[in-house]
Amino acid sequence: MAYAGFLIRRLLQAIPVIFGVTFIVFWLIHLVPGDPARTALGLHATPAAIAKLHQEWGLDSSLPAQYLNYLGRLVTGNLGTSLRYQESAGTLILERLPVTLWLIVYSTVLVAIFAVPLALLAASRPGALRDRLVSIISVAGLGIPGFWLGLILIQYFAIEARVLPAAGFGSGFTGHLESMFLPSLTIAIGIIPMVVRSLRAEVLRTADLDFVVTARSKGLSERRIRWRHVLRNALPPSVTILMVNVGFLIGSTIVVELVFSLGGIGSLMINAINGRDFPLVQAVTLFFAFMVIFTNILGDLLQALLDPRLEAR
Amino acid sequence: MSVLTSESGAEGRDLLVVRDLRLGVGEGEGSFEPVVGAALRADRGEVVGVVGESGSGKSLMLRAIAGLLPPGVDYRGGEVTVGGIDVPHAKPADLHRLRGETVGMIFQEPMTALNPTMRIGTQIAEAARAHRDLGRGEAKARAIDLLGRMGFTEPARQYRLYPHELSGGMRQRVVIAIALAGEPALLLCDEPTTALDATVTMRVLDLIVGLVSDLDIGVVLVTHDLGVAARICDRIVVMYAGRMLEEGPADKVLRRPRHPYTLALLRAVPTRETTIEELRAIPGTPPVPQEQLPGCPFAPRCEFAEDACLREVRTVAIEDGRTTACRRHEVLAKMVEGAGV
Ligand SMILES: Nc1ncnc2c1ncn2[C@@H]1O[C@H](COP(=O)(O)OP(=O)(O)O)[C@@H](O)[C@H]1O
Ligand SMILES: [Mg+2]
Repeated sequence: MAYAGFLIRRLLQAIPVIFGVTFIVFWLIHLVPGDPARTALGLHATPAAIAKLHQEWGLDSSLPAQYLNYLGRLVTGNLGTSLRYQESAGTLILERLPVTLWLIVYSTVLVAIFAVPLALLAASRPGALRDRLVSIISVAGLGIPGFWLGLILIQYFAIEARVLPAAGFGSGFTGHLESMFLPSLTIAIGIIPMVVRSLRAEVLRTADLDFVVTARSKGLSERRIRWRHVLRNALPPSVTILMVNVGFLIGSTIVVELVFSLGGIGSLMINAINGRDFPLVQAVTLFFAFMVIFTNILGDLLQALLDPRLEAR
Repeated sequence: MSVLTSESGAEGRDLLVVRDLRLGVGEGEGSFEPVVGAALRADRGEVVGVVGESGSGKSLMLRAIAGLLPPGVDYRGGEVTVGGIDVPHAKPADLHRLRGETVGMIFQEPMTALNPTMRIGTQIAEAARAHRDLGRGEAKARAIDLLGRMGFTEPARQYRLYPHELSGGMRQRVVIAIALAGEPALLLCDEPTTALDATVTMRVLDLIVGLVSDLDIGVVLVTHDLGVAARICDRIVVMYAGRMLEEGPADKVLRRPRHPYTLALLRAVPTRETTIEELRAIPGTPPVPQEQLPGCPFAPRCEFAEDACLREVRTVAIEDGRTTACRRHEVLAKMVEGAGV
């Protein structure tokens, strides 16, 4: 497949980025002034405990040696050991991965479900009432802070109407689907406006292109022209916007997990920061960075799948 | 202003009749009419050329025939009838029958006329399915057959190509295949070879001429290239400023023009016989459609014009089933017969 080559090329291009990320994450712990071991263990730590950590983290060797050592550990899949949980950071992340993945995928799907019809509706009559309504709703969606929106949604759907759970991950596929709806919607509402705006503009631009006149000259139905010709060609740029936002979205999972009491990687991050659990902060940061790189590659791949002209590049 | 269509007896059987067509742009203050009194007839088995400088309303007239006017342009008067369909007043069902099934359309820019994200075969097959109750397999077979007829050497494999994988000439063949997929009676070609180089132009023109006899369809070919018009057209319509100035058999119109504008167009074309001294650009500039004059639109640039030309313009029938909008056509005729063009 041509796509395999494309994917390999993108992965190779990601290698320098990955190195940069590991370097920054490695530096995190040295950014805080003073002895990292003391910073991590706090003022009341015993000299013995500090010496032990010095040894564990190899803090007595030179910085380049420490970095190489760190890289070596990463290559073997060792993300470090959490000070607080006394468990491998990798295991902690894996345990909470399903919640965060659900949030990311679910909200991405919700964005697509809402953004496409809204954009088509707005573009069907530029400047008309429906177009202005969509843009008003979009501006509102952009302006609402995620945590506040989350609380409002809990108030109306979970506490008053009692149709959806207020917190937790739920169990089983349909359980997750129900429980994760409000948190995912909270995230989606922050992203929908940007995707709607880009898709609406792109649909209007595409509708004026020559091949749409060709499509019309064939005697196709307006419905087929709209979906198969206009939307199909308007989609690729908006997919890029969507995937860039999924990168940002990973950050907003932290707030949403807190509001909806979800034990995902976002809340793991908060615990780690509060507990000055440096190895865990490092591991989660690295994980988030990898997720962003991964979604970008996925975005490029989707782009290539949607636009045959990119395949050759 | 009146427009006479020639009383050749072919009336009523004509596949395409455009009479006194007026098209308007916009409303109120800035409104103008880029097409005023265009006329055209075409029948099965003939190629009718429409020539004229760019901006004379050729493309708009073609799009008006196919019911494909761009947004903001509308019918203001006159008649467009294709295969019995009254286009300006057509209902959605008639428009569906008109587009693809009665009229196929070929565009100037093959690079942009095709959907870049759809395989060329699918684009042809969907045109075939729009009008006939074909299964996927049947439509595909029809598309492959059309590709073969358009000169694709391995149609079954090339069916799967995307437009960007083809040259301009091959893309134009795909556009032609799309236009033919619904088996239309009339093919409208809007400068189909302007974007192509000379050898490809010849092949595409030969292909179109072949279709006329093979499929017994009518062709309207818009071009600003008189060489192209001379090569394949049976009849020629000369357009200027949204109006028909002269119409008649191609060889007659091009050899013995009965309108000064046609003469001016011919003089501006370099041929093997003309010398540099004879080659002349048309003086002045074409009128902008926003400023309509009551008389002949060409009069301000015309060496034959007299005062009356600026006041009134009428289209009259002359010999050989020709028509001209020039009141001084007899003066012109004497000059042309005397000197040759
Ligand atoms: N989509 C449009 N909207 C408004 N005016 C148009 C449009 N297309 C063409 N026109 C006007 O009609 C005139 C004739 O255009 P066109 O039919 O494209 O000429 P031609 O094909 O002979 O070069 C143009 O000069 C322009 O003023
Ligand atoms: Mg044109």
